[in-house]
Amino acid sequence: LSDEASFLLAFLGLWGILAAYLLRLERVARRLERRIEEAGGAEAGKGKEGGP
Amino acid sequence: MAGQAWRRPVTPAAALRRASLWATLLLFPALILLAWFRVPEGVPLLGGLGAPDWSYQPDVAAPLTRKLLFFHPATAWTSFAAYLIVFAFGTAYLNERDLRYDRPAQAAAEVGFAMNTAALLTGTFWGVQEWSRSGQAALATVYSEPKVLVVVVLWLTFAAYLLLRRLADGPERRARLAAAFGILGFVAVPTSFLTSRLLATSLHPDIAGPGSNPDAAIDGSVGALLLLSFLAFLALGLHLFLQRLRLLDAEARLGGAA
Repeated sequence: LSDEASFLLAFLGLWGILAAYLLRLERVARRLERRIEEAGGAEAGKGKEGGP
Repeated sequence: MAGQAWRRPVTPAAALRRASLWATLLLFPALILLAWFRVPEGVPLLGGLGAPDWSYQPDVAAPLTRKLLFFHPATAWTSFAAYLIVFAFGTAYLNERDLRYDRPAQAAAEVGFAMNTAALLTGTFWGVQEWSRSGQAALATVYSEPKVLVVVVLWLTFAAYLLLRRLADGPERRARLAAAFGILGFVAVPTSFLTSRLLATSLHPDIAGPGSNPDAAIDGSVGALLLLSFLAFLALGLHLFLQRLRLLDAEARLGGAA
């Protein structure tokens, strides 16, 4: 590979890593929020069942 | 309903987060490809103000520096924008004493610090490559420039800010100290901007606006690419900021529930 081609590939590779990282971050954050919501819903349900 | 996918309602923050994600993913390849195929020839950016004649001949001795033009200023400007958010939310916190203002300041400080680090690294790489061609002590030349020193002070201030956030006890005390530190640290941003305009400096010539150095002027296509690079890094910074804020809000909700 010429210097130019390897340079371009390096930058595109970095972009691929960045894109994968950002998409993974989004998935993990969404999963975390869903779990918090579900845990909150379960707590509320338990409170209702055991309430006066 | 069983089997139905859980869906969170789309809030303005979520819409902005998604827009900044797609802007980041689209703008970076555009920037990389344009910077590669449309790299300006012979831009004498560092040619003014008595510096040696850097004509930026491609692939002579410092091939990477031509590309760093589209990464170094953009990371620096994005870090300045993030520090402006720290300043704004720090001021809001000190006025209102509401912890909701502390979380955006923390998220922005972290993003700003990362961008500031990237700006220092790319700048060092650029400067050392260029100045080692002149036979000067490259690292000493770069780190004796007033603007670089101001940005190093800025970087150290926000490194201390992040350390302080880890060490201070109690959310109110932590938020108060961090706000004061963030506001003080932000002073270095306008100082850095003024340094290259008020002091004679050959490493960061004033390239636009009244009083700019005509020898260091950039042409339209380079200016458009610089703007594109700034937009790409701004979108990345905004996305990281919003994601970090989302996580801090989730932590606060969990802390409140505990």
